[in-house]
Amino acid sequence: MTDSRRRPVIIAGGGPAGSVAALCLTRLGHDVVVLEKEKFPRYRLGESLLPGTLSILARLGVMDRIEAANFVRKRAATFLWGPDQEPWTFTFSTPRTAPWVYDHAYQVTRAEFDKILLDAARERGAEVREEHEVTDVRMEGNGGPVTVSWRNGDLDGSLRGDFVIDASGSRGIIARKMNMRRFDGYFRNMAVWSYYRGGRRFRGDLEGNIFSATFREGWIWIIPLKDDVYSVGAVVDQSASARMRAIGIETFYQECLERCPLAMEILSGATRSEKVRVIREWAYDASSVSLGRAFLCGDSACFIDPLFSQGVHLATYSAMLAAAGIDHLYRTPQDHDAVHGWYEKSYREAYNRYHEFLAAFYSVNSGLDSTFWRNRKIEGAEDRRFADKEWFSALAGQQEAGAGGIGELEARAATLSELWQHSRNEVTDQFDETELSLRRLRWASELMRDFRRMARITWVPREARLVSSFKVHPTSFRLERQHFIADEHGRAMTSYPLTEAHRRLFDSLKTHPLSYRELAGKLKDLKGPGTPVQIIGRLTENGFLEGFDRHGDPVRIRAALRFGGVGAEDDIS
Amino acid sequence: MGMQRQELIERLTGLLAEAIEEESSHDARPASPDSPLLGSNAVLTSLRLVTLITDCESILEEEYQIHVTLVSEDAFSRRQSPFRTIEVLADYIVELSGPPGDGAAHSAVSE
Repeated sequence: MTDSRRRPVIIAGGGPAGSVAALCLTRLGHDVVVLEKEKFPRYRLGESLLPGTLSILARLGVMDRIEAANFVRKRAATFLWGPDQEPWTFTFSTPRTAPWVYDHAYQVTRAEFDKILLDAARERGAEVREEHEVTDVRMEGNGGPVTVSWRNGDLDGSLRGDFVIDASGSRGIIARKMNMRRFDGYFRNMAVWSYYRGGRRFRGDLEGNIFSATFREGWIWIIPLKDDVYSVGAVVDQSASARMRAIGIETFYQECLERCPLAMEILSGATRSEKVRVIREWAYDASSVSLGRAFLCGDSACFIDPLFSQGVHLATYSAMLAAAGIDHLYRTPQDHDAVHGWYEKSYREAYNRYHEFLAAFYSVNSGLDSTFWRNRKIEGAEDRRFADKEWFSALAGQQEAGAGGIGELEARAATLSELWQHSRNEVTDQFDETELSLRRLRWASELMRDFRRMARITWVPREARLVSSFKVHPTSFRLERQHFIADEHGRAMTSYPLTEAHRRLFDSLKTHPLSYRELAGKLKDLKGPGTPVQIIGRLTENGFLEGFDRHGDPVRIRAALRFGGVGAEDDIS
Repeated sequence: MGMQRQELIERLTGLLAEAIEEESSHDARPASPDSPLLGSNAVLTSLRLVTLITDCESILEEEYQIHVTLVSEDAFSRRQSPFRTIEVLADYIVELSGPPGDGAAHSAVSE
């Protein structure tokens, strides 16, 4: 391919994934056509965002528009998870280590939010065609262009582009056409939801929070939206659909809410303002999320249980990666395989992190006896529902080798819950976030104490290698080649790029172990991103480093599950 | 060898500035004796704050022969946390090190 850029990048879908891809690509100087099936504004579910999305939007220069919309500021997520459990609040508070690090997200009305982003893409130079439904995508071999067919009422036509981004949401045009969609054996939910006007609003440090509360047959989300509206939904097992049909959607929905005391408390005095909606939510991914000249973003590639509000974040994050990858391929077409490999790995890691997190969270935190909760218990290393999940295979492998395994996963999930747990039983306006700071500080001090007990740290894999990959530059959105430490199988720790000097240092630990203090000192001298404790912590978590105390006993680090998309404080876990 | 409270505050503020610089990729926030170390406006992550506190213990021990354990059950159980700001932390160190000769430490920080 030449660099003449005769043809545009065609984006199928104008939701958050499509709009963010368009914003990135126009910023990088590319021609873009967005084909959107509907006329905006249009309704969508998925109102609760994560701070990581704001970080991307800020770097794209559209946060002023989002802030002007006066959406409800979301500073945390509060869970009442399991019977008789203290509430716990996952706060997004974080030091602002860069202007685009956010300590909050928003609860948005998606019709308005999505339109803001699509309008911004149009104003930045993307050609946006609403009411243009993509009906087919054809890719020619040998690096030829892509042809995208569309329909607009009675009209139809086609466009040729150099690349296509499939941001068509759950329709998943390319994944379905190429039979790449894989449905999940574990997350098989059904969501039933509606909207209320009025209701109790919490003040102080719980103001604006999403509440997620378990009940016997599932869990309830309660999201405060602007204009005094609450989005309230129940997530139940798909097996409940027979009962729902028998008693009717409205009665079924009301029955769910009545079994959740927090929902009843918040909604007392509120009036339902919309009809009850229902959707089956099968989690899925695609066997490949990029191929040839196509990149799959957001729900077109994968979808997972909405408990942690990660849907829009995965959409915007993957869109940013895809745009950076396409920009790189325009300039460096010979990196075709490397870019696809990087996109595939990066997106899948982000998705799998949530998959692991959610599975562990469900499995550990419920003591309720019902179909929903029984179906969400992980049945040990032999659980076939996770047969195709890398994170699960890795844990099961550890278990066979006599270490960690599924028990370790549950321990990490329990540590996570503990770190954010309140010191009181009720959900109250008097809750003060400082108590969470102290919990995290206490945990971090225990972690540090354990590291400092390490008199001898060794490198566990057979080899220490330096592997090349990419990272997206935070402000230019261009791909940058960087190096990461890896084992002999190429499994890498990609949180911090490292150098050949780091590789030599880690390699030397095989024959000349160092104490924590010695290793931290040498890492400090080498400089580069990441503090010594962060690098040693990640490598220990990955199983690359192992520490022993002065008696020769292994020092186990009490790690917590990591979340993603929520700012720097997540790094403690 | 003793240490003055003001000298300690300056030293700790210097450590804080280094820590913020290490964590920040752009536009590091300025460090001051009253920068919040806990809560929603904290300037450091929890892990970095613990690193700073343990670095502080090492400096007190190695350079001033003052032995104190700052991260302790006593610190966590106080109604007002001693880790709120550098100034408050300095006061806590003064309190822990005790007056010279009381046996609480080999040396002390004076007011």
